[in-house]
Amino acid sequence: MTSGPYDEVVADASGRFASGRSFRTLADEHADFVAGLRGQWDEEAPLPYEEFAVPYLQLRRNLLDECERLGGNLRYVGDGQVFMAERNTDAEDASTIGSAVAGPVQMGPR
Amino acid sequence: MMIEPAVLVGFDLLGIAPLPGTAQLDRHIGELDRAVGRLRLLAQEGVHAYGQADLNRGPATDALHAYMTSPDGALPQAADLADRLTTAADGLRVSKGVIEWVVGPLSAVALAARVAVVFAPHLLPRLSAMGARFTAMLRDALSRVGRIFASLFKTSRVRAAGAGGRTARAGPKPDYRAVAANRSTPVDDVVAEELRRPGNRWRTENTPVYHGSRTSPDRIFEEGLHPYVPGDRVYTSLDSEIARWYARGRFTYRVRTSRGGGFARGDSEETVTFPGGVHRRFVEGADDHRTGDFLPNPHFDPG
Repeated sequence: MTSGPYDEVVADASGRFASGRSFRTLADEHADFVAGLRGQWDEEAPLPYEEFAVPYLQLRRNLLDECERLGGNLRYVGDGQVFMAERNTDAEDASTIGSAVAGPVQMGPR
Repeated sequence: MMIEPAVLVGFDLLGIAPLPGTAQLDRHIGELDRAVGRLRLLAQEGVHAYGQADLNRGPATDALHAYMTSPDGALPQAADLADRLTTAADGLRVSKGVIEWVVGPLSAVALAARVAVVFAPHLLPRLSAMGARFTAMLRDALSRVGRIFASLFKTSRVRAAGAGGRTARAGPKPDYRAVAANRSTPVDDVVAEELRRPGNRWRTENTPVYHGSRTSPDRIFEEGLHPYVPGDRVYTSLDSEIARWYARGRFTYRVRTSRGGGFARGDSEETVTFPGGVHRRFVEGADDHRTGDFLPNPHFDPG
């Protein structure tokens, strides 16, 4: 993968759509998973020792919050991929008026 | 974990609170393990989802890649969460081991107190002191595990961008089996997995690392440190105190190489993993926590 200047730009809208949809599905599944954890993980400590129980329960709450944020990030990636795919499709439509485009479009010097 | 009534009477005589059961620990371990499994699966499925757009090339793709491999990226975040939950579950396992271990000597002291109260009451203060010592050991051990939990709050360390995924690496490929207990065991899968983890790097420094185990030095000095599953990895720590928890009162092995080796984890300050384990010639010796002695390995020869 080059980091620029770019001698090759390839836009595969269908791949981006598929990727975006997959990430959105993962985000939905993950949201269900986190909701399940919120219901399952109670505030009962496994041992009655404060020096152990307090940091453990704090850690678990913290990890649960991070799990929730992860769901947001998955959705962000999914939405971004779909958005990019739509822009790619628009660009393809604009540059190939009247003709169907299949597969990846290569742009830039050949 | 059932404690006999006679032992409970002894606890009462010594003024020791009954030890907690381990059923709640088991429940929490199970919950954390299931969450780890789900997050690991999510990380795998995320790689597949990301790969579906793999044909794309260009600045937008690179920007996405930079995000995906950064500590804030969804997939490194899933892996990081799975790792921290694994460490939390391991902390609970260690705690369970400590309770199960301490219940033995503490029960013996309690039973002795029951006898002493009838036949040798003058021994009671001494037995009481012994009981208090074991109880203090338990509390100290659990408080250290508590500190490990607190350390897991820390947000994941900044990971070197491009350590995994598509970024090309310069220089010759290291010999990832250089330290392995058995060079003939394939470790390609586990090496590939380590390389995919953002921020991971193959170590070039020789700082010693530590591995806690209940397995005797006789065996480790002869066979080296083997993973539980052939072809997997052995986990070690730069922090001997962390390794000591995994020793569960027995042995902490010191590993020292002459040319580096092992993957330093990008998402953990202390963890170093060795695909295929550690050959006996890199095991410098073992700290025996029962005697306090350091046992040197006669086969130690790091070259």
